[in-house]
Amino acid sequence: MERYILELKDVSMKFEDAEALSGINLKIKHKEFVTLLGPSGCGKSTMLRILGGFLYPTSGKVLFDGTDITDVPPYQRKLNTVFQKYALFPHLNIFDNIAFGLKIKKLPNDEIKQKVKAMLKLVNLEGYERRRVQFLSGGQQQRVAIARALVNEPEVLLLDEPLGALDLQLRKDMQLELKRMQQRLGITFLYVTHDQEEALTMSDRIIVMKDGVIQQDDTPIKIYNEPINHYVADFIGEANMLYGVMREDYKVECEGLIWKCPDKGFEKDEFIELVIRPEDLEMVPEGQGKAQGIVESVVFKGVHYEIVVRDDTGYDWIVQNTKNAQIGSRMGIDFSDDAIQIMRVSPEYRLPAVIEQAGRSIRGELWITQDSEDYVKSGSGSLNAVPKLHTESQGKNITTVFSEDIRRTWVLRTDEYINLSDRLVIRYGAGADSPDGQEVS
Amino acid sequence: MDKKKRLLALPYIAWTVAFSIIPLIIIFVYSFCERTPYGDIVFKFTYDNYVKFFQPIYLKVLWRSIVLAVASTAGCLLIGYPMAWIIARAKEKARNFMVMLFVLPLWTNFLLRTYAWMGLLRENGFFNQVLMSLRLIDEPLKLLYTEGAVFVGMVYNFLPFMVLPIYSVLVKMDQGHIDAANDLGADPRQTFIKVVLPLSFPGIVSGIIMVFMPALSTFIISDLLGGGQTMLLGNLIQNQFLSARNWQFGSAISSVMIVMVLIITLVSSKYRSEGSEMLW
Repeated sequence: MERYILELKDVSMKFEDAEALSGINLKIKHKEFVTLLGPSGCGKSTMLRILGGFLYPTSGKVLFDGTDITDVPPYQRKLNTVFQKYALFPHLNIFDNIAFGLKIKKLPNDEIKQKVKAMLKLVNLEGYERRRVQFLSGGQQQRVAIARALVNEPEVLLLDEPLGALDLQLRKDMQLELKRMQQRLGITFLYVTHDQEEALTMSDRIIVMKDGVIQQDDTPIKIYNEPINHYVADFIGEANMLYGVMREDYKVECEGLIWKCPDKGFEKDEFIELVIRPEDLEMVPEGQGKAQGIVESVVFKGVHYEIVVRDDTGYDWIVQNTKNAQIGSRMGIDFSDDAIQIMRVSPEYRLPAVIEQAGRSIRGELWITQDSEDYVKSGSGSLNAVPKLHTESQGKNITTVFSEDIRRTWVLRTDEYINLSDRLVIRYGAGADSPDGQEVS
Repeated sequence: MDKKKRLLALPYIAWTVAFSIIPLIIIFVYSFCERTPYGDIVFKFTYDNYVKFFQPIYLKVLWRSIVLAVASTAGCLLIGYPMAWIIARAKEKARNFMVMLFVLPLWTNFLLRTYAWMGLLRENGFFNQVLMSLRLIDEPLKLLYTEGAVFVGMVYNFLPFMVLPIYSVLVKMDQGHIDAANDLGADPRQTFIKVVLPLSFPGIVSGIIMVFMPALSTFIISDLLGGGQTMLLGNLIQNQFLSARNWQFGSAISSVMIVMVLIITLVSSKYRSEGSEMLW
């Protein structure tokens, strides 16, 4: 059986009414660099504070090297924290800040001096012993905070967005420096950040979180290339996401075409979502490739151009390419079969809808594709749309529609067949599935 | 723009000149003046008023004033710090309520509150009655008109001036510093001694000044609760101006006190900026 240095078992945390963490299970190995990644409010900092002992979980257990430490106060835990705002002691100079933990342990003075000196060297702050904390730059304070934690030789170092306050260049330097330090010292790092690039750069393993639930727990490469759901794909980097139907293993139908893909293990004709990264797309002459479209916008990003191509169904592809393109010109988009990653659909992006077409009212579901979050949050409304494509999945009708109002494609899943020749009005969100014929406010 | 700013400063300047600077100059000048047998002021330079003050009888008053002021400041600190801590650590709603409860008596007149203490301490007052009915004592203790009564009155009256500055420092204290100390292995006691106490030092210094100054110069509390038995600097000055009609000597004592206050303020303001290091 493998030994784990840190373990969370079924940990939940409730604040008043809000649930900050629900049913978290997590195992961290020795010398691993693990990153908790998510937007603010996803529960990542709460998790770190539970590990540090500053919060007591509502339920569940915290294990350190196999022993239950849920009830152990922070000052008896063998781990140290680098706090978000550093929390350096303003009444002490740099030396005394770093020596704080050693003095508490009542180590002999010579040893303290020697260890602090070695630490200052490690973080490149030699000769700063007598300086006051207030007179250090953000980057220097940050390094003092790291030194203050590391000098205690903890087995695990918890880092709560330690680079958040630094400017971009310094942040990048510190990322590499931290990673090097972790490898040299052989300490387990548990790192919290909302910066996906930072997570990809530094981690052995990334845990993507949302609303207090772990979404995906994998290596950076797998998180990027094989996101498990819409949320993860969207949070990590740019992504083109489309709905499709899995016809059989290695074969997916999307945009009316059958594409080969590396994925298997889905039900026959299962309604799925697929993701293709913008840098995997290639611009080819019109008539070639897997989709045809017109260039909508071009933005120069330095290393590459970001080109938006609207295809004939109305879907906006994001293409990252070193080649420029002419706005308004037509072109083909191509990608290799490996570029496709198939994901199970996420019910959060589904809204109840009533579709009105030529005097008919059809109940069904509206599945949002592009810039979806805003529409999910805004709740309800109504849209004029043109049906573009039709296919079937496990007895349901799948219709891709394009709405001129918002210039987006969405997907409808209905029991009844939707005629491709007539325009539609879609009423969606709360109240949309009230009895037929009633006005929805 | 600059002219407008100066215009805004006018009320402040007028106020300080009229009510601080001019009176101070008058007192200073008077303290070096001679006196006719009937108490009139003769503008003739003399050191006599200061020489007079450094007689054992007056130095004793000075010493008593300092001892009582130090004792009541220490008393306020010992009671006030834990109070400030409890209020600052309470939840926000409870906190505001506690501060209000604490400040409420301040809105009644200072004299009234001191009279109330006379009622509590007198021979058939509250404390004696309670002690008698509990059969802890057979006859009433002499509580009122003692130095102890003056001490209690000073601690009671000046306590808010100790609690509020300490509270305002503690309530603003970053929880992160306490967490960091815990994280580095400091138990609650060590965290208090090595982090919380040094970080609240500016509040403690402010509190000490705010209590020590009025405690040194009070005359009402010593008058009412000391019953004229406890002569303090304040009483001495009051006597010189109102009964003895010796404004020159009164001014000299006042000048000595003002200089003492100035020295203490200067010394403590030096500690206030560096003071945080003192306890480490």
